[in-house]
Amino acid sequence: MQEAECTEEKVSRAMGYVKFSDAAAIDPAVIETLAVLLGLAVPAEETLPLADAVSGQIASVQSLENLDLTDIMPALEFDPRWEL
Amino acid sequence: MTPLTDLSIAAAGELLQKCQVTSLELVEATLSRIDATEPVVHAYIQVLSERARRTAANADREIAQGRWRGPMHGIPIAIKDICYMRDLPNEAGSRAMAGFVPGYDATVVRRLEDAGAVIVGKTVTHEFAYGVNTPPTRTPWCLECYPGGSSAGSGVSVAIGSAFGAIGTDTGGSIRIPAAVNGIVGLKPTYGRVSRYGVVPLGTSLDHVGPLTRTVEDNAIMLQAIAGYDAADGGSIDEPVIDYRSGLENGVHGLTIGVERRYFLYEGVPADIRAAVERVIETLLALGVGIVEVELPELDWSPETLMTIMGAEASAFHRKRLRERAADYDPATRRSLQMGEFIPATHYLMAQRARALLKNRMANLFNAHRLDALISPTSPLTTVPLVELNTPRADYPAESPMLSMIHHTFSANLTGQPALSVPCGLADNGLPVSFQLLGRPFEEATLFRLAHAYEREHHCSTLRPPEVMAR
Repeated sequence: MQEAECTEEKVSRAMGYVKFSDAAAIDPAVIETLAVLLGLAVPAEETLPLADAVSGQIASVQSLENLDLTDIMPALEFDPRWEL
Repeated sequence: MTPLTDLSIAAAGELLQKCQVTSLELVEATLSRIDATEPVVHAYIQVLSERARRTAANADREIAQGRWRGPMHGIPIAIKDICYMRDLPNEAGSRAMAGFVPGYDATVVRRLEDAGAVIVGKTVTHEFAYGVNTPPTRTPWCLECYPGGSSAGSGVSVAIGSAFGAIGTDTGGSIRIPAAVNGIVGLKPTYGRVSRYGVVPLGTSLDHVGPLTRTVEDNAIMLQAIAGYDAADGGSIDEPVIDYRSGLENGVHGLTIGVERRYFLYEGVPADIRAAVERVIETLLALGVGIVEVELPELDWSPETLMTIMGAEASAFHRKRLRERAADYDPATRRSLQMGEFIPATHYLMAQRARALLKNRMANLFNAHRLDALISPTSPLTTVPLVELNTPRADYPAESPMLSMIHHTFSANLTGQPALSVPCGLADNGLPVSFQLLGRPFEEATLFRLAHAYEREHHCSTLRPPEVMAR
């Protein structure tokens, strides 16, 4: 299944990190608007690759949506010890 | 006779202590090695010849006066160029940091110099250790191939003998992957074990500092010099520092290792890599180690979880610079940092919750099976030509080589547990293969024991890359 869907374009889009899932494409115009709100200077030629990267990132997080995180607190003050 | 630059830290330290070699001789041999190899491998961004000679002369004077500080005294080492050295440029592989000269030493630098180490230079890193751009560094094992990253220069310098040991940093595998690619030993210590003060952050809750060396014993020696609490690092943890070398010869009988085949020996691991790790398992079994088959489905979430956390944290650190010097970043790094600004806070928090869950499940797994370590290949692949790095693998098109190479390393950054990469031979293509041991928090000594026992059986620390010399 993955073999048929995996293309070099998708690999490039994922910048080598995000799994090759079908990301819901974000319109580059949305990125342009948000970039202005964030105060980011994104050259016109970089809007599309950035939109692809953001799409890939957001799609990858979807897999975490299925976790049962009931009663799990975020590790904001991280401590690796198992027994304190 | 063994060339000086081929000595282990332990062996060189013994000769220094007995005044059978001088630090200046080791430094001169190292500088000659740098001259001979740098035009080919580009491991260093900055060579500190005169500074190193002065430090070595001081070390020799102290040793001659009977003031030997320990096994790092007089040993030439290298430091990744994201660790501050006072009054020396620190550019972190980026034009966006060009001209920056810190006014203080990173704690890891200070501790190494306090232990008497001689820093011969600063090594090349991927830009800001993000691993997105391609550094000029080349692995001597295959000059057209990826050198591993982001501590590329540290890995290569140790492998080729232009440093006896080096410091790297690891946010998702950046010590262990260059160690594996270059056939040397690399440790990501427990989170909080080694101070990050004075080290340019990437993902503040994921960053680790650790040593790269040619032998397991050398790694223990370097960790000894740099481990310990530092109030200047908010992530530092005040746990006792034990003698990491003292247990090396204790054997491994009675220890227990878990094997999670579904995740760590998945179908993306080629047969020769799989066989190499199976041979490690057989060796440890023969030495009296118990082997337990285990399952940890939560490992599946590691990539998404780590990338979300790292993406947001990296962008938070670069927020100001990205607005002031955007054009000075490599385009790929800039895009990754900009992308991180679009990660919703809710996603970041969800990832931190997934991380907490993974940590809990890892602890439960170790406790339920009384494990001392988990074992895996460090990387499912040997290195590949740079042109193939981000294209689908011919043998497993679901992943690019880059994605495969980080498959096994992310989880330990999320859990914070120590992870040690150790060479275990050559793959069918003649390139190094390594295995990884994941341990209990602050139990680096157990990993060293296991790895040292294996190393004694198979002598993989004597692997050397093909000779490359400047013309």
